[in-house]
Amino acid sequence: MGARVELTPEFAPQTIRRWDSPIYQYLLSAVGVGLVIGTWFAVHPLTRFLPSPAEVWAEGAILVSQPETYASVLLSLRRLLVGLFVGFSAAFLVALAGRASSWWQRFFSVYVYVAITVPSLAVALFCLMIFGLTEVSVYVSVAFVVFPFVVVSLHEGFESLDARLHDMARVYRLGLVQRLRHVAIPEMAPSLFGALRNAYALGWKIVVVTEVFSAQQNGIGAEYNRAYDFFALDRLVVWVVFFLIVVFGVEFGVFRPWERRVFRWRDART
Amino acid sequence: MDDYIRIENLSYWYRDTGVPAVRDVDLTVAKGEFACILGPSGCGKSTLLNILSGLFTPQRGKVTVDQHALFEDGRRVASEPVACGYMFQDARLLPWRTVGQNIALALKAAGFPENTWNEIIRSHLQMLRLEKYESAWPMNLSGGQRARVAIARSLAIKPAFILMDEPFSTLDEVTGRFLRAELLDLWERTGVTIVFVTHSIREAVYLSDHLYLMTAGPGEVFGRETIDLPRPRQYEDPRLTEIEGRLVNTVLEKWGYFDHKEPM
Repeated sequence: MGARVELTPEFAPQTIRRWDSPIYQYLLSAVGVGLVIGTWFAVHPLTRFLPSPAEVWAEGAILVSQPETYASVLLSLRRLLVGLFVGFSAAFLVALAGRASSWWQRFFSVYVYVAITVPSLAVALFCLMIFGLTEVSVYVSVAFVVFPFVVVSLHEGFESLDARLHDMARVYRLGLVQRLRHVAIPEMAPSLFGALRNAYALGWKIVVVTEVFSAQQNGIGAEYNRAYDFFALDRLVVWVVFFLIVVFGVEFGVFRPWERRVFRWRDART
Repeated sequence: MDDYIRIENLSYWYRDTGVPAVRDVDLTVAKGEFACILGPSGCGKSTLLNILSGLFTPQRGKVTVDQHALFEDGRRVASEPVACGYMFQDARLLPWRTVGQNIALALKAAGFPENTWNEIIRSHLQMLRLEKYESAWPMNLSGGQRARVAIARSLAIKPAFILMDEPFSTLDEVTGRFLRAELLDLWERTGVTIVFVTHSIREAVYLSDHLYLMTAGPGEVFGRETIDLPRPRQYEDPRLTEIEGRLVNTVLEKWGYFDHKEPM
């Protein structure tokens, strides 16, 4: 009797569903953006305050040609990075202390909960009152707001550490630096990336808010403020677009490629 | 007798609970010997390996390797750490490092100069017929291939001895047999000393020169069998079956299965 092999479902040739293809994704995004711009075109003549897309485009072209624009963006970026660095460092120390002893974990948990709960706007105002209208206010606001979220992510990362790999590393006498670099950090990479992403998104918002309130002369928030003072809606729109470009630029230019590289061992052929 | 690894009067109990894991263990392994430790689950076999590898410090007893004391009366004796290879139940490779990098890391930690790594990695992968996979990710290998990488890693560091903790128990039957034969071949070619822990009597009889029998936990060593069948051995050899049958009877009594004896 001849045997006949029947293909189980997972080996049967699959029809790729059209909706899953990336081209559809891009197309859908483009349609979404198009809808907004189309509505804008249709609606702006009906109001007295909305600028036309053409006006905004012209304003954007002017701003792009001015070096001050780039200086503002870079300044905000610097404030963000310093704040993130401080927030991450503090969170790392606290998470490490919490891992070392449950006493420290209980001690710090109240700070973490409070820091998570306090409205970030209030944090910005507090810092401005305490540190004055200075750079330090922005740094501390960013650090304070991202701190608790990073602690929580790191805590989850520590939980995911596998004692079995740790034993292997000890048996083969890997030193502390090697254990961190080759075992612990790669193991925690998903949480670290999660923390970095959240902190980055959150940090940008608080940088801008603090800049608005601190009457800074430059930075993206200061540009928002200026646009508001002159009721220059076109300029406000342009600055929002710049903001989006910077945020998405880092997401697609830095985070995604970096992540693909770090996790390349995962999506190798199975 | 040439006592390369010597364990005397060794006891270990878990620090947090005080539950004893192994008690009054005496055991000697000669250089180049293939020794098996046979015991039921939870008898403290793995604890013994963890002590030999330096992970656990025993509370009592003495451990010497090649006449250097590792532990004496519950203290870790300050001396050069002995390089030991270790094969766990799973291959325990770092999934985010390639096969070659996994071995390189062990070499680096063992103090091999960097310019020697490539040659050592290549020769050991060749020995295990894995040379194609030097830059492969462990996730892309089969269970048997991963186990072979783990063997390559444990051999590559030129260890004083290799400890193996039921390394083939998670593999399928055919792969397991194949790897056991391959391991014996490598052992004969390299002359390395191996301490192999298992709960499979057949596996222990097939592999070992000497076989230590442990009681159920807290583990004590209650017997030493010498398996003097000539090598290479066949897994299906009736003489192995005969020894196995004899050991089953000895062991069942000690492992406490006579309380709920099954017809045999």
